[in-house]
Amino acid sequence: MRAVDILTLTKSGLYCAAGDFYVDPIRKVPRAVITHGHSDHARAGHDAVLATAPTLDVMEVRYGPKFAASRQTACFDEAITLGEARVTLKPAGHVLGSAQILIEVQGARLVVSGDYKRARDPTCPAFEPVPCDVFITEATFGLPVFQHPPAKDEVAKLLHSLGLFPERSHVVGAYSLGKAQRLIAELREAGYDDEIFVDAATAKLCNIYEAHAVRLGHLSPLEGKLPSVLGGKIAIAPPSAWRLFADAKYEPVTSFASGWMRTRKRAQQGGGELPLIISDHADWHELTRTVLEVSPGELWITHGEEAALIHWAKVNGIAARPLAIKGYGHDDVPPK
Amino acid sequence: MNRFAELVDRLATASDPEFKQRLRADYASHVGESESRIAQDLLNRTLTFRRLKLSLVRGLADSRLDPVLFALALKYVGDVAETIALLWPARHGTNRAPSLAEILDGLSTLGRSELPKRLEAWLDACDAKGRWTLIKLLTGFIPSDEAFPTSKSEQQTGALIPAPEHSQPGSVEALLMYVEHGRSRSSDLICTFGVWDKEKLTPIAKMSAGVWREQISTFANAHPGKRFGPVTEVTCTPDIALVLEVEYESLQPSPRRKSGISLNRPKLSRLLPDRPASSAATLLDLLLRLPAHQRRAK
Repeated sequence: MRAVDILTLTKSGLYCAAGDFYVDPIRKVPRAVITHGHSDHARAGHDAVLATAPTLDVMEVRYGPKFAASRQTACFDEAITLGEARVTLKPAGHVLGSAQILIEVQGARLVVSGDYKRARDPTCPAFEPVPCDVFITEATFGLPVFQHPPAKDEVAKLLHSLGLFPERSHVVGAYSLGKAQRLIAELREAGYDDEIFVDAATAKLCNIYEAHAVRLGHLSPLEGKLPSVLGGKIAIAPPSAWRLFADAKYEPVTSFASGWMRTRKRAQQGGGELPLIISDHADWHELTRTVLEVSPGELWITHGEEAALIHWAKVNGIAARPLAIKGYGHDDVPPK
Repeated sequence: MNRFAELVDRLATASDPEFKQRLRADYASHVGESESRIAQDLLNRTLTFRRLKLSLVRGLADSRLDPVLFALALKYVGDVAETIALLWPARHGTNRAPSLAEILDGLSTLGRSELPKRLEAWLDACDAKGRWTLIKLLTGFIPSDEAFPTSKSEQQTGALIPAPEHSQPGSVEALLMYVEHGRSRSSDLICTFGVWDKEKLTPIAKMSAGVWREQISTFANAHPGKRFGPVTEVTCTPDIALVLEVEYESLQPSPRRKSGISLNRPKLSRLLPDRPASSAATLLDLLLRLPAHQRRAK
């Protein structure tokens, strides 16, 4: 068995014939292995789902208890036999529970990275490079223009602004799974222990983090609060809710936290008053560093900007090709 | 530079004049009085850092960057200066980011040949935002701080960053509009220069061609327009036009002039023969360099 034959691309997504399962399928399938809980990767309606405990919890909160006919919890580093394949989940560092999928068939090794990052994240275990024959990497930020600054520097900007505008609420648009909790945890690490307001959708996911021993401190529901109560406070809410913060007296400081805020056009389109470059995806340097560390025989590049990474791989003597999987979106795109 | 770049960005997105003032005061409290004065002059457009062509900065970037990656990045970003700012490879262990005062000092003391090397060091030491702002300033972009002191409360807090009461020496890129041969026996050439006012040119200064006489004369003879007695119009189309840099000691409002502004002691400083007509300044650029209270809509 060659590693390049372990997975094939089908209409439903990446399929492993040896183990008869799909990875992050975009249609209902008999057996799915799910990398993480973002809705473009974790869909409802499969017969059997294998994923980490936090990912299964997220799916249940999002889709209800009947999101799959049966579920199996995988721990990191636990080898699970599916047919003739051996499947091991490894930390991906993207959000709580996010995993890379290592598939071994007759000694050949293939890794699906799922979404991942290398920057430190207080809310989930760090990405682990896994040596393999074929590495399938995401490339959401696969252009060298994307270089995310340290998240703590961006959080410091937010706190500085709060000091400068103590009467204004600071409302941050952040994806409700992952980004929001990371932002809260980064704020706590920076010494901010005041209550943080979160919308209901985000609050449900925060509860899952708390249940998995990620401490987020004092959170309060945002719904039903008058703008005047929020003055001088930090709130996390999607941009669609920003207008609710407008107060006759004090305008909120609006902010969108995303890796896309690196370019001025995107920052001007949807970054609010204080765009923050905080991403849960690998930036260009993280992508290239990871490929060098994993040192695969072959690199497949999916969902994102492939051309630059393929060029880089060629220059560095690594065989690379694009893998056009449909159905995965960017999970932190600001509103246009 | 990084701090100034951050200020420019925040001023652009802050809506309320009082918020802007707080941002300026916060900046001033971090950088000190002389640095914040330079910043305010840049924001007020009474000072310019314009010294370089973008092609020179591009050349520096090309020597350090993979051309394929640069092209792909440029396609995505759509702006050369921003692409360079984002891609410029960080050099760890470089000095702290330069202050505006250091940049101003470098620009006034370094020769043309020394400037590129210093610019590289500055770019190494800045963050991406700082690099973008620096490249834009050096190639002619002027940050726009719309909130000039207007209200009473602003004038009081304005003490933190003294607003200049007189317009300062500067230069402007203008277009050659007319030439006229001097009446005396001396073969002097009198030139009229203009800037863009919407789609038309408005004259802003008239002066002797001086040492540039021969070059200007050659251009005017090669591209003549209508004749009005001794005065000859010079062609000015997007592709055929002569751009020149005119220095002045100060600007003042002048209601009797068509442009509404006059240049005190204008001096022709150099010819910019490879610039397109569109690179010349606009009348609005010039009017905005006047202290706020002297500005009035024409």
